[in-house]
Order: sequence, then C-alpha cells, then structure tokens
Amino acid sequence: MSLRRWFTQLLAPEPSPARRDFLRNAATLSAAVAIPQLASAAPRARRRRHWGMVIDLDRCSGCNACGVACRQENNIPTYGPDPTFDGARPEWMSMLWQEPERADALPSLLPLPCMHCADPPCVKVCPVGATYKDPDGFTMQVWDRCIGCRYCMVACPYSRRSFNWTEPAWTPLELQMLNPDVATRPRGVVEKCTFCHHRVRKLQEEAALAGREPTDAECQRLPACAQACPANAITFGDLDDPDSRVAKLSGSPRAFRLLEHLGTEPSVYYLKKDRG
Amino acid sequence: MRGLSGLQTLYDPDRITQPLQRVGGRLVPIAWRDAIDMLVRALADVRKRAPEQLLVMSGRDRGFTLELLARLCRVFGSPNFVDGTPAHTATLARAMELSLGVRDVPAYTWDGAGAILSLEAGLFEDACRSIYFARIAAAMRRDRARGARLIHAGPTFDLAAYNADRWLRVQPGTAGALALGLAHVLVRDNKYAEEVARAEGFAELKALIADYSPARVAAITGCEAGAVDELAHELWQRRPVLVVVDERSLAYTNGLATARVAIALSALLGSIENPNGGLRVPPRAPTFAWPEAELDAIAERALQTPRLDGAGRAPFVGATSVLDTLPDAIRATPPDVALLYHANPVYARAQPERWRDALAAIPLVVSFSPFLDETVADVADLVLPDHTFLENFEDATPLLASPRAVAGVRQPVVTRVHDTRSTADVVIELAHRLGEPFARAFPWRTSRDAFEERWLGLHAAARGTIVEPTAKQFLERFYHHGFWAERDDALPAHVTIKLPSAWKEPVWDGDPAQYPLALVAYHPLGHASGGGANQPWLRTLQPRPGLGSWTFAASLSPLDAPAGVHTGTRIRVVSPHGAIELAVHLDPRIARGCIAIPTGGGHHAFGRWARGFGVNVMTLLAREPGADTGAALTCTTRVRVEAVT
Repeated sequence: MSLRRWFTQLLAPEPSPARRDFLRNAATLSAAVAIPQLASAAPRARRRRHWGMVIDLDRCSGCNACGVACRQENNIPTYGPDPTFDGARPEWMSMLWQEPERADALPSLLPLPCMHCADPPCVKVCPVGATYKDPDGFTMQVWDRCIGCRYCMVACPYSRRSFNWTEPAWTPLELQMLNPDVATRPRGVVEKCTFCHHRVRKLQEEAALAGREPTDAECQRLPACAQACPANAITFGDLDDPDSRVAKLSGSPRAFRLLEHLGTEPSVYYLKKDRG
Repeated sequence: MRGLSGLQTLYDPDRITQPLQRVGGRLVPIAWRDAIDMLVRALADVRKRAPEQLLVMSGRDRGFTLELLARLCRVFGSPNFVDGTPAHTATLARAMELSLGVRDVPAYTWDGAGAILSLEAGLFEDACRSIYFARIAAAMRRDRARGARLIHAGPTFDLAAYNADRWLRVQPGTAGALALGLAHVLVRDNKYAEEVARAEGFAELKALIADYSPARVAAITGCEAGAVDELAHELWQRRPVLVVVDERSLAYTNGLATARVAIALSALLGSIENPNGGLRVPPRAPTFAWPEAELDAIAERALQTPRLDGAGRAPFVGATSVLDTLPDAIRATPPDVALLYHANPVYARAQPERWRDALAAIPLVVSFSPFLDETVADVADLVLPDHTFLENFEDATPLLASPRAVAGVRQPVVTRVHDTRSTADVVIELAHRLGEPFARAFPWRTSRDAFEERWLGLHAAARGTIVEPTAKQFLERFYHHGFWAERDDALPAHVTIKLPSAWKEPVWDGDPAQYPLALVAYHPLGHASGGGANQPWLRTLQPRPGLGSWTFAASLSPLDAPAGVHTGTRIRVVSPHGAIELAVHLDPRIARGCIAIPTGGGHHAFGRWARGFGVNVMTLLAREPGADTGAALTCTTRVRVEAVT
C-alpha cells in the first residue's frame, strides 16, 4: 500500500481493516508501554454511577468560597466591571438570591451549580449534539462542537449555562494560573458546570489502577466547590449507592429539588433551612 | 477565599516585578544590590544624626517578619515602630487587658455552647476568623443533638443577619446598650453566675446596668423592649454562650466600652474560661523567643524620645500604635526615612489625601509592597518588592479562634515569578550591612534560620501533634505537615475578672441637622479593606446579600432616601470631610438613620482590576482615633445624601 493510500484510509470515516489493525496495534502498544500491568489484564467493567450533589442550606453561610474555588478550578474567564456584561458573565457556581414571597419573611441564598438533570432540556434542543448525557449522570458539553446558538441557555430552566461573549483575555502571566486539566473555552461557545468531571475521572482512573472502585469518602468533597466549603454544606457522591452519604442525605425530610414539577429530575438536592 | 484566590495575587499582571527607584518623579528599575546600597547609606546617615528619625510602619499586626522589623527599629534606636493593630485588634485586645488582665484577642470554646450572640460582629464577612465562624455555626446547628441558636444584633442585613436564627435590628453602635439591657434583666431576675458577684467592680456594674432597663434599651437600640427580656432568659437557658464582638462591632467611639460590656455579659452567663463554651484566653504556642537584642548607647538614648504617634501617652494610654495621629505629626516633624511594610495608608486610611501630603514630606519613603498600590504610586521613593504568600517562606501565625495553640509555616509552592525578595531576608541583609550593633542582634544568615530558632521551641516542648527525637526530624515533619498544634484545648485558666462601670452611646462627627445619617463603612465579603481589590475572583462576589457581582453601591433605607431616588440611582454622599458619588441600593431591611458603604472601592492605582472601580469611602471619614486604644475607627461620621441631578 502506498503511503498516500494508507494515510487516506487512516482519515476515512469508517475504519478500514488496515486502519483498524493500526489502531488496535497502536492501542495495545501504548497500553503495554504506559501501563504494563494492565496490558495483559482482562478489561474490567466499571460500575455505572449516578453522580449527584446535596447542598445543605442550613449549613451554608453564603460565604461564596464555592464560587471562587469553581472559578479557579475551571478556568472561568473574568469579564471585569463593564456593565455591558451585567448578568451575562460566565459563572458555573453562584449564589442565587431569592426574595421571599411574604413581606415578613427573610430572603434566602442558594448556591446554584448545574442540576445535571436526568432528563435535561438543554440536551434535547442542542442541534449539533454538543451537549449530551453521560452514562454516569453528568450533563456534559463538548466545547469544540458548540456552535453558539444558545438554544440550551433558553431551554435550561435553572439558567445554569453561560455564553462566552468575548475571547478570554488572559495575559501571558495569567495563562500560568490556568488549570491544565480543564480546557479553556473560546468566544461564541456556551459553557457550564461539569461537576468537576475531570476530578471524578482522575479518581476513577487512579482507583482502577489500584484495582478498586472509588470509595464514598473519597467522593464526598471531590468537586472544587465541595472541597472549598468551610461549612461542609456540599456533599457529592453516587445517588444510586444506598450507602453513600449523598444518597442518605437526599432521602432527608428536609430534601427538595428545584422546579421539580418540570420533570427534569435534577441530580442536585437541597436540604432546607431549619432556622428561626 | 483570600487563599483560594491566591493565584490571582501570584500572577497579577500588574505586580511589581523588580526593585524600583523614583527618578524625576517616575519609578524606574534599579538592581537589588544598588537599592540595598542606597537604603543602607540612608539608614547609616540617619542613625548618625538622629535615629528617632526612622519611621517603620506596618499594615500587618502579627508575624515573625513584623517582629524582625520591630527589632531592627529598636536596635536602630527609633521608638517609631507603628504596627497594624489600630486597624485590627487593638480595641478588643485592650478590652481583654482591662477585663481579664491578658492583652490578646479572645478565643472561643463552642463544643457545649447553646448559642452565639453576635453584637454587631461581622461574623461571616469581614472578620479574619470568618471561615472559623462559618464552620462552627454549621457544626453547632447540625452536628449536635442539641442545636445551638445564632442571635445577631446589627443595623444592616449582612451575612450574620442572614444566617441568624434571630436578627435584632439595632441602631449602629448601640449593641453595647443591648448587652447592658440583657445584663440588667439577668441581674434583676437573679440569673447570673455566682462568681461574678465576687468579681472586682460588680457593685459598679450593678449601678451601671440599673440605668439600662429593657424600655431604655429599646429606646436606644430601636429593638422592642419585650425582646430584651425574652432574649436574656433564652441566653440564660442556653448558657454557656459565645458573646462575640469584633472589628466591625468596635469601629465606633464607644468600641472599648462595648467590648468590655460584652465580656461582662459573658461573665454573667458563666461563659468565661468555661470548658463547655464561651470566651477563652488564647494559649500561646511554645515557640522560643529570640534573645533580647543588645542596644548601644545611641539606641538607648534615642529610644527615650517620644513617639511620633503619641501611643502610650494621654489620651492613648492603652495604645501600642496609633495611625490617625501620624499625618499631622509627620508634617510637623517629618522623619528622614520611612519603611512601609504591607501598608497602603494613601488609600486605606481615613482622609487618604492627608497621608499622601504627609508622606510626601519624608525625604525617603521605602515600600516593601509587591503591588503598585497608591502609596507606591504616589509617594514611594524606593520599592523593594516582597514575595506574595505563595512564593514566600515565613510563619503563618493565625489569630487563634479556639483555645488550642497552633504554629504554622507558609512555604513556597512555586519558584518566585518575578525579581522579588522576602522582606525578612532584606531586613537581615540590611542589619548585616549596617554593622554593629545590628549584626550582633541579627546573628542569622537567612530568615529561615531566624524562624527555625523560634520553632525549635515547639520541638523542645515535646508535645502536640509533632514529637520527634531530633530537631532535624522535627523540622522535617513540621514542614511536611505545615503546622504544629496542641493535641487538646488548653485547660481553663484562672482569670480575675474586672467588670466595667461605664458605657456611652457612640459619638458621631457632624451636625445631625446638616448630616442626618450615620455612616457605616464596612469591609465587604472577600476583599476586606481593599487589599483583595486587585483580585477579580473576589470582585465578582456579591458585596452584600442582594447586590450583584461587580456592584459598588450604598445601602440605604427607602424611608431615608431623597425623593426620586430608587435602586440604581446615583447619589452624592456628603460628610464634613468630603463627598462621593455612587449608586444606591434601597434596602428595606437596613436600620433607619444610617447608610452602609463598602470599603475597597475607588483605587486610583493597585492594578487593572482595582483601578477606577467604585469610590473610596475613607475620604468621608473623620480621623479622630479611639480614645485610650488609638484604634482607627470607621463608623464615627455623619453624612447627608443628595440626589445627583
């Protein structure tokens, strides 16, 4: 086979037999080089999860540490004070301020990440499949595939999606502070909370190398927001594991979900305040 | 949060990248060797002529580097070492000294406490222990069979009010009256700890609280008389109680008296040195002290000259430093050299333009700031930039919140980004270059040697979280863990309580007829007095519940707003000392008769994220320091509000 033909086959949409062999050989070779202990091991089925979060409003003091940690972890750009961007600055985790319906009641603050709905409206409306439902419960977005139509922003009943109105203006010095585990997003792309998907995957990979599943204790404060919370108000874990802390808390009589009547089945539960 | 946004401090695009020297009005680069040569020559010259002409000023109030600077100043022979305590802990520490005989900020035990009573404290916002309070408030509420209640008295709907089980809206500066009213009810109903009756000043306290019936307290504070009775009984049932005051509570002219009344209320509730809960005298980590520095005759003589700031003399008898007297004193007799360590008075102190004029009269102003702040931009002649905390090796001495001694070390997590140097190392190099008696007083090669000498006291104590047979092994583990701590809370100490005999309502600067509103200047969430204003992640935080991100607005009751003013309207706030224009947020929850404005706005330097955003409320403030304590007070000024047409 000529080099030209081999290369054309390599780029073909459907793998040709030659390309399949090449990919298989390459995968085997890289696995053997990188992780020799796994090269000969039989593939092991990873347990499916339903990752979810419980936020205890009775613990939360509204300090915003979750929001700062999220910005740092996920390379969220800073738009500055320009009022043009009021209400439109990218934010994945922020405090929602709710005025009470009764005049004599006090308002409430709600830390608001993406709800990672089991039936997410944002996924249904994406015309290019940029946003999708991961089998482990994450509502994910492929930044490079997004065309910026913003249908998902309209569809999300929780307003948990942000649009990049400008190219992130990192100075050369600021580029050094970016988290290499999270891709930056260019102008014209919608972005959202990933439940710190990269941290979850990293933990799962490390656990797999050790031949085990991640423990609940390792997961409870895994996302950056949960790790930063001084009041231990945010708990993360597998909602399908009845022994996990997050599953137990989600069964609390104080538990509720936002806009439950819409049938989106959010994976974020709140525990209501018990004050007064 | 300040820690979480530390990367933006480290990689701030507007940091000072190398030493700078002012030439022809402009700051231009200079090599470290030349900069230190220049400073050594200037210091040697001043010491020959008049050592007291050196002024050392710090924005920080604790830490080993601060102590090295104080040592340098003392060996030099200058009494003019002014630290950052007036802006932080001076009032509370002085109240503890007068009440319990210990000059330190109280710690708290909360394990068995049934309630936290916050007297205008900024528990979750501006207190440097806000993370601790966020943690214990959550734990007290949810992790115990007997949940505790958080009761907050304050004039504005801040995070403490938001988090409180019960919020008493009181007029600014009157929480001390509420405490006296609670004490009145407790004593009237014979519900107080027995040992208080034997404490010094109990008769005087009884005479004082006799005047503060619930009805009178209601008239002073604006809360309901019934609430005082009810709250007093609730606190008695829930004792021990953490009665908390902090910098925000004590920013009024009556701050010292309020702090003393709060301690007295703790005593009545049996909540002082109670192992179950309440106020505790903070224990000290058993670090070694450096040997006392030997002074030569020049220093001995020069140290007898009176301090520029008037600390230690009437009316500031209880002060170790005073900030607000300095501009006038400097203008009257300008020092020859001023060393400024993390101090930015040209922005952060009351009436900043006075500071600019005063510092401009000093022939050599040296700043160790890592940032191009207002003091650097306007008046510094030489800048020797310090590392930021992620690059530095220094102690991390916390303001203890629990009665368990802790000693920490801050280590570099990256190699330095710019051509900066640790100020502690610069101080030691200066001492070596100045010769005797400095070299003898600074026998260490580097600051690390100096700090390790202190930490070896922890090794010698042979207790706590790290116990090792050799000093080398101890330090290895200390650096690995980053801190040493006692294993248990300190045992209750025996303290002699001295109760207060007086309390006054706050005095406000400005004629109430012309200036009807009390100005409450507050540190907003995240960026304190402006120090975090160059970090956009902190700027993005809502400065107060209900306000948006990147918002700079005054909070005002709709009942106090001029006609035609609504949320978002620009207003002019005028005090006897200045005027500012900013947006207003009409907040129906704020107490009538006051206006709350955040600090941290109106920088004209300090980098791209700080510059030009908001206005500087410090331009409105009176500059009278607190009597006795010399504290820098931020809630002493009356203002009026006008609509901007």
